[in-house]
Amino acid sequence: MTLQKEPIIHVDKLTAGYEESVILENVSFDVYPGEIFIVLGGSGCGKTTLLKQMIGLLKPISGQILIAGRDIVNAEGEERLKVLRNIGVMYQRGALFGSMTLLENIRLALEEFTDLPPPAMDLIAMIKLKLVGLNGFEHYMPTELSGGMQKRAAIARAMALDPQILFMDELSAGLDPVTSVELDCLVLNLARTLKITFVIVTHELPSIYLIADRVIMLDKGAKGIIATGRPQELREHSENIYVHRFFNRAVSSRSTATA
Amino acid sequence: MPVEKQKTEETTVAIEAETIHPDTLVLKIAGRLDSETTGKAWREATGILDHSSPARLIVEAAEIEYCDGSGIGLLLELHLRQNKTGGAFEIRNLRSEFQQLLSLFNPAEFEKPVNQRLEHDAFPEEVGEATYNYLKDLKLLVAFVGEIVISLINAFLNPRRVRWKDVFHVLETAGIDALPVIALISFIMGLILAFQSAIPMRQFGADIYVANLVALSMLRELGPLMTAIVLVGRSGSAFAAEIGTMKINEEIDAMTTMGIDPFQFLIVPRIVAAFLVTPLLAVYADLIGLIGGSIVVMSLGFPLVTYIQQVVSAVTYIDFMGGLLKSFVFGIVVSAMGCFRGMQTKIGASAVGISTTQAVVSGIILIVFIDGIFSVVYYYLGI
Ligand SMILES: Nc1ncnc2c1ncn2[C@@H]1O[C@H](COP(=O)(O)OP(=O)(O)OP(=O)(O)O)[C@@H](O)[C@H]1O
Ligand SMILES: [Mg+2]
Repeated sequence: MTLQKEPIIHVDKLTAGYEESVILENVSFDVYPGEIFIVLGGSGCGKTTLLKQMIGLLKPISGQILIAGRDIVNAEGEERLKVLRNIGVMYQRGALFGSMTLLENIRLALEEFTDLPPPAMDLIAMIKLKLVGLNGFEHYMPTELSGGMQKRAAIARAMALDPQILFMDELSAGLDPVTSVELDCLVLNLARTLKITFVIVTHELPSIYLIADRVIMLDKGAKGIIATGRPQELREHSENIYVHRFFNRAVSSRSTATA
Repeated sequence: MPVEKQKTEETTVAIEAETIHPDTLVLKIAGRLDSETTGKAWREATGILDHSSPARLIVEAAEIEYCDGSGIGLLLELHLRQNKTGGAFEIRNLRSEFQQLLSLFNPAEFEKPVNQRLEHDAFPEEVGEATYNYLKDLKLLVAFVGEIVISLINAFLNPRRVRWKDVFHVLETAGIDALPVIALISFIMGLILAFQSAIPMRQFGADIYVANLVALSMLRELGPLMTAIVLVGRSGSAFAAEIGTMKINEEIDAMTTMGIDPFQFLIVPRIVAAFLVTPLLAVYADLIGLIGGSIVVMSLGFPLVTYIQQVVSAVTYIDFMGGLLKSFVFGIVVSAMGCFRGMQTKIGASAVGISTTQAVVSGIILIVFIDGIFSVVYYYLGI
């Protein structure tokens, strides 16, 4: 459901890349508040690159990115912190701080940005862990967890400050189907109850049909967006062969799975 | 025996060359082209082509029984050679299953050398590139030093923002844990210095001046220098490895997006700790070095009191403070270099190793360089 409000993320004519190469060219799109927005595309097409642009880790070659009306590209100091406080990021490989326990990982942002008393921080951190089903693992080090658990812990950390927008790179890659569905439900829940906006990179088709409000599909050759819309729309009428094949393989694999 | 026969068939390939027309060469390939046999076939076939570059090459493939990836490689290679010399190429009667495999590869895609990065550039080009990279590195280093200074000033203005827990942790690993190594090295240093100088000095009846020599060189030069070198090896490398690993695991990115300044969080505690601990370690090294020297002097027959008196009369406060000042600088340089190389770590598993090595090498070079500058400055100041 596209809510016709002011967009919370506005990407305008973004061109991005690395020293030697341009990865994305002239990409524009909007994300609206409360939306679950999915970024699709083959390996190496620039999904992570796009995400890193949106969270201000990489500077675009040209173009504009507004997060909740603030220009993240040129923001400095306090202004930048205001933007960053409103976003949470889950990295493709978790990126938990290896020298801290799970609890400390989550507490860190609270320590830096709030003046809560320490017991309150502990409690809030435990609540976040409970939310991703990791209660009881507070004092584990990240290396003592399985890959999927690390991913869930990373989500808990991304939510430490209750941000308005959560960015997730490869939400369900490497997770078993049950956990993956649980995560989908968690995302849906958070989006509906807390009105959190999600920008998620994923390839799991069942997951896309379950949670996506809108999808964009990137392509390496086109260096940009080749399709945008609701997943059902794209499945039924997309002009692009690649998009068509992607979504219809979804249907066939789903029907064989249920058969 | 049939089994025997099958076995020989399995591992053989035969190539026959025949010139059927002044400029048409037919290569008849028979047998199995697999990873075991293709090497031989490759050498034979390319050997034939090296001698004659036919305007037209026909590969008669009817008798190829089996052809896997390496066989396809050979066929492609023949095709590419013909393309290069501008000759025509044709494969006849290749079985359809192999034909299908071959048709997956377009020779044009393989015309460029596989690994361009490994190709060596011309010497001047390499020199130019190395110089450019060196200057770029220097520019980054200057920017890094600037950021460190800003962070340190910030830390000084708001000491509560410094993560003292981390500072104490580094003080422990870089300082306390280094005590045994530094003790060992300085003790032996003092011993060697005294011993080596005692023999020639004795000839002049100047054995007691061994104490002066040991005291001056330990306090002014060797104490701070050896401490700094141990610090590079133990802590500079550790800083580079720790920060480099965090960089690779995207932990630094995560920190940045959490609004936490990696400089404030990771680098300031390490530099503050090194700044505090290096002079202390240097004093410790001085002391142990003097103890080492005392053993030799006492074995020459002097009482300990004489040694101590000689040492006290030989060195001034200025000598001691000069050495101390150096170790403050060394501490900052070593830790900053470790952190700098760590932050510079690129992607990949070998990247951390590279940064660690670079941290140690550039740390040692910088230390020796700075030590030289100090010597010159002290000389002109008359210290
Ligand atoms: N740090 C970097 N320096 C140079 N090039 C990079 C860097 N990171 C990524 N690239 C290049 O940018 C392109 C896009 O990479 P990116 O990580 O955005 O892909 P992706 O869509 O996230 O892929 P995946 O699904 O595998 O995670 C790739 O071709 C990659 O080689
Ligand atoms: Mg990615």
